[in-house]
Amino acid sequence: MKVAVARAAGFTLIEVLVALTLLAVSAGLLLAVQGGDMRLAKSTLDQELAYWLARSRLVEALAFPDQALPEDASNEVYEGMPFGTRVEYREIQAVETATPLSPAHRLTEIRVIVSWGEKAEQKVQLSGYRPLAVAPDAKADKDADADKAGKPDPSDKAAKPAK
Amino acid sequence: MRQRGFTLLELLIATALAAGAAAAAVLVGRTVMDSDHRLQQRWERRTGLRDVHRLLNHYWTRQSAGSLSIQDGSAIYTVGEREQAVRIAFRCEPDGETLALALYRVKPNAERRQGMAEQDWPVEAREVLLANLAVCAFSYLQPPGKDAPPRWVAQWAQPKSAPKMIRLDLSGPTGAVPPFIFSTEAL
Repeated sequence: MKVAVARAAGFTLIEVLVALTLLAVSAGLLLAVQGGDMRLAKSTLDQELAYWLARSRLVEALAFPDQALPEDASNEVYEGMPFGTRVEYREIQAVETATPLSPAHRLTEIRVIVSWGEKAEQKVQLSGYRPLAVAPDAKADKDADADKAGKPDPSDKAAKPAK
Repeated sequence: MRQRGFTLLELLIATALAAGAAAAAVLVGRTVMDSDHRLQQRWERRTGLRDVHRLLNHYWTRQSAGSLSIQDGSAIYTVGEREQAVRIAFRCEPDGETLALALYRVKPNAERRQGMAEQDWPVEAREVLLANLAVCAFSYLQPPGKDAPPRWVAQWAQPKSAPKMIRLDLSGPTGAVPPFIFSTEAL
């Protein structure tokens, strides 16, 4: 009879500790999984905002490359997240030629870079191309020529050693 | 064997520890639930925003079959002529204290339209795309003048011609989103 009473006494300390540890670990795991899911969902939402922003800025810049936006960086907050936007304009020559192409055959690359995140480590980049704006008058043409004399076209230099 | 329970001090310490742990758990739980709730709201909201982005992109950047116009603050896409025309209009309108973005659909219906002015055509479906908005505003790109740079205007003065670009600014309970800008012609 004495033995039966002792057996019914309950859990030992070790048993309770093991049970509590298991409970704590499983609760912790659940929270970690939940946190990972939330981070993923949030980054998806932010990425979509960044894409919308980049797309809108590119559409705007493509229509009026000289006037719509200067080569600049700006910061805006959307849905609580700050986004930085940078627009870059770069003249590119699609084909290397011995003689310079006329402005109508040259291209301007417009690149929109949107960055966000704690250290701006997340990035979305979109680019578009359009023909280089043709100079409206002779003065602008002369400026372009003077520019060329001052800074020889790198593509010419690259072509010479090959000959 | 002497039966021995806990001393009062042991019990007090145990209760205090348990209370502390419970409080921490509740705090963490509430924080997680709160941010989860906010995220959920943002996610649900996003579905509507995505629809709007897709619809505007669809109707405003592929206009081979239809024409675009701006009347009384509505952005209107029309295909067909007179009684046979289909019209789809996007409009920002007051909705109680806030604003809503609604889509109006007018389908061809020769009998009901006979002798009616275009703006009186009966609306067949009104669908609220986004409600509870603090900002809902269309604007249009004014082409550059001699010395004036291009700029966004709230009122489009030439009903005969569509603007080159349309822009929609939206802001709701989850915050503002980037302006939706669409080019109405090939760039």
